[in-house]
Amino acid sequence: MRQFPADTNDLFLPQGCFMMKTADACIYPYPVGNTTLRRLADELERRGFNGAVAVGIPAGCTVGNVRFLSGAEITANSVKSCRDALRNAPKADIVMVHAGDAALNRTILGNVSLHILRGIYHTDKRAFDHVSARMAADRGVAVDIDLSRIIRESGPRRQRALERYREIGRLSQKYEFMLTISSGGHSLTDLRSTRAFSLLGKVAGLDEEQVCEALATPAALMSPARAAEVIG
Amino acid sequence: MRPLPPTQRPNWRYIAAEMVPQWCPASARDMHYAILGCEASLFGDSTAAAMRTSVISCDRGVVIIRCIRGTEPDVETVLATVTNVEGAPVALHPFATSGTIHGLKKKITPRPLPSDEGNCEIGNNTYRILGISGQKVDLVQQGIKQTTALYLNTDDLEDF
Repeated sequence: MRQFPADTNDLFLPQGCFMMKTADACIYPYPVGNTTLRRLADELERRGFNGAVAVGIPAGCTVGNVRFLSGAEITANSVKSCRDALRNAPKADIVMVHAGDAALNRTILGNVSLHILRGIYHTDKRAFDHVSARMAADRGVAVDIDLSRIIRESGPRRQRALERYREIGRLSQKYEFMLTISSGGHSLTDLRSTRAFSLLGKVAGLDEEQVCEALATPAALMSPARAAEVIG
Repeated sequence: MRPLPPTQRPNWRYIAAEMVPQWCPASARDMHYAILGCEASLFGDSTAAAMRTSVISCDRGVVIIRCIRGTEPDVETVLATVTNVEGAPVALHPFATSGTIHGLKKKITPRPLPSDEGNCEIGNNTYRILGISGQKVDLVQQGIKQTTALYLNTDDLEDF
């Protein structure tokens, strides 16, 4: 089994903290899901992860060798409602906003301080174009590849998700914005290994390097350089 | 009839996958149909036929799958998309591959069966406690239509 800290850089971090080199960008522990944080930590470690963004936990914490960041997930249909939701949401390490149509995505990327843009799979074909891609790259916003859409869905819904993800992968290579990969797991049975992430990422049109970078993105989003950034 | 010479036999590969949860009551036949369904759904019937996947055994939380050599990554991708077998939620995590069942079985460590540790009540629901190896505990509620489960650790059980 992999020992921590695995990198010399990790030695400079406080005890109990280490770099998240492989992190699942969105999971839902109990009470939203049906698996407790401790059990998820066990399972994530077995599957090759050392971090995750957990939606619904009050604050970031470390359980065993797994670092959990708290995440807030926001669904809004206008910038105003998005800002209101952000104001009312409990304080979280990672703010994730669900994507909408092209105009909303551009406005959100330009005016709201967020970390991850989620839910690209259910948007319109032109919802995330080269303009949004450039804005995401400039603002340091990551776009999430939710593997649960490939795992759970089938038929036209899965095809649509794969089509979007392939387009996102292509835009990411061109405009160099960050990607994250998540299992969107509500349960122990929804989690997948890093190897499965890589294989499913390949199906979604991502190469090995993109998957590796995407797994390390949650840590990059928490870096001090990004925290100092002022948006709006 | 003369047996087929070894050079003309297909080159099989055997994959061992861990079943989560370990106590999932799936039979090898159900597992086979679930995997074939996912295969056809993800890659289409043509590729599924080329893989020639079949389930050799499904016992004690370990599934042994046979496929044609060279198709292992595709089979592993398919296994990642298996979410339920006959309505029971399950995940399959491949952990070993070999050219013979004998070689594969050497890589499989025997797992103890989950122990039944009585019942507990959370809210209005009564759950059966299944002790998995180590600190893991699964609470299972057998309903008429579906099985509901809560996955936790022994420390969490004290909190409840």
